[in-house]
Amino acid sequence: MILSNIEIQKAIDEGRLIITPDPQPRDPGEPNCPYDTTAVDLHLGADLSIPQGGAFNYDLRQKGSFAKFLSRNCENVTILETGYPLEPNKFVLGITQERIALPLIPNQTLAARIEGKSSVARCGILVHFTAPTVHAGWDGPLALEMINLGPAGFTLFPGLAIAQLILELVSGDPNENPSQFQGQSKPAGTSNQ
Amino acid sequence: MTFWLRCSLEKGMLPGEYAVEMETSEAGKISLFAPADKVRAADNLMRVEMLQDNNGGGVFVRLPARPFEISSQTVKVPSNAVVRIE
Repeated sequence: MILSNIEIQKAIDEGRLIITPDPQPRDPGEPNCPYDTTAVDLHLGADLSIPQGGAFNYDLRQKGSFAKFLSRNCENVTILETGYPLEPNKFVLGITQERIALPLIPNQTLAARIEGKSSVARCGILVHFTAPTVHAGWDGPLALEMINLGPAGFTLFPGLAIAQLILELVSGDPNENPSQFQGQSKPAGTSNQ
Repeated sequence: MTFWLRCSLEKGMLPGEYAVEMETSEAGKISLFAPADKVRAADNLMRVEMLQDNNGGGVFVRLPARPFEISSQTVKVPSNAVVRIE
């Protein structure tokens, strides 16, 4: 069940949801209120990571160094006051200003989904794709996988309300019991290959 | 007591994260992006949650993020790869 803005604020007050900095003001009647009826806005941080092309294909089967490979083949940019022009068909990674934490609390655990904002979508901007779920237990800012599918450039700037967070109550408690691994020889799970 | 896994660290794609590479007992080398507050970069250590210690026969730990190469945050690592800090 999706939480209303009132329930989102209640979850923050009770420590079941942590958003830092705390979204303010809370009253939808006030200017710049980040709350919609069933969501709270998230804002773009100042740092971008721009993946660079090269004479390679990304291959998830390249054992053991894929995170480093991605990091070594990107350009890090801090958005200036004038903004960063996201040109058509350009793909960049961003990060939210807000840190999100969804503590595991019996019968009260929350999960979330990050969605784009319609105002940004109308300009042809995908704010995230493939991985919208913020799993129970997450703690940290959220990465944004942004691409401009529109016909014109789009200016990214820090503080832009670029995404929204939808909160839901998890039915049942997630299994984090270490005993699930006892007696198994391969608790690491199935290889992707 | 906290538990730290010996690994190899580099700056990640985004601020606040590190690209981490580590050796496991059964899945070979794996890598992930770890939040900066989960690593001690100068010491090449990443904080993990201890799940089960097989007394020299390997240790099951929960990683702070999901690796690229396998589908679980829980891995078995060599016992001597885990550092215990009081």
